[in-house]
Amino acid sequence: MQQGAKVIQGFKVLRAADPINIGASKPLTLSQEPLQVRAFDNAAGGLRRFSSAAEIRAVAEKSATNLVGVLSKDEQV
Amino acid sequence: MNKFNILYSGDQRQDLQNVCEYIDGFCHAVSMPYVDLNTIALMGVLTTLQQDFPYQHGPQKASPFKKVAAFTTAFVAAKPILTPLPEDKFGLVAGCQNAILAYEFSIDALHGAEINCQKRKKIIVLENRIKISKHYWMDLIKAISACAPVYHFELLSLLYEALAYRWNTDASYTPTI
Repeated sequence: MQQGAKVIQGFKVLRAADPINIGASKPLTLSQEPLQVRAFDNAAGGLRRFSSAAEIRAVAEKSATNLVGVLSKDEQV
Repeated sequence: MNKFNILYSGDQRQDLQNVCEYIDGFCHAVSMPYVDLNTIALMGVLTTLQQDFPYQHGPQKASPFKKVAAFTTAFVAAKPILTPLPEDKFGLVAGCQNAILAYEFSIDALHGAEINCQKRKKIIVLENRIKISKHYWMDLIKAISACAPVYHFELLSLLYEALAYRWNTDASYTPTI
């Protein structure tokens, strides 16, 4: 499967009360580069930090793959 | 390259992008050909996290545990993911896609998160990822699926905290009670 393309395609099918599979709305485009963000005051501590969208994807894919593997066996998630 | 937090990055569009990227990566890895995602509902989740955070001092002074608990409860309540996960892989919880994604996202967001502890005057990094048993995971997903922000935010925050401290024992306050 092409990296991500088919899944992202599904992101465009809903807008507000539209029924599923209405393809007229604009797809949500995921940039591969982080936006220029202003600093958020995570005074009590911040969540995990990433440097790219690809890094987030890699973590998500690893977690999903591990989870599916464990669900087919009797191991720790 | 500048690093950014996966949530509360400082820009709601970046947060949206991060969550979408995570969902996309997860669903891709479990071989889903498409995902119906209500992006309006997802934007609502992120707006809630900014403007209606369920902690009196706001997200700025909320711990990472409170941040992911707020995300989990808001995400599950909004149900932005409409497509169930593959039944051959997820069995009876295939229809709990929002709870599963919210939990996995939260666990990954806590892995490497920083706690700025004022009382101990240091920053504590959660170096180790939370792990639980398959049995516990199944029960937890069912429980999270039924959670509501107003009732379960605090409890879920404490649950994430307890799980994180189990795998990061140095991060915990000294148990005394």
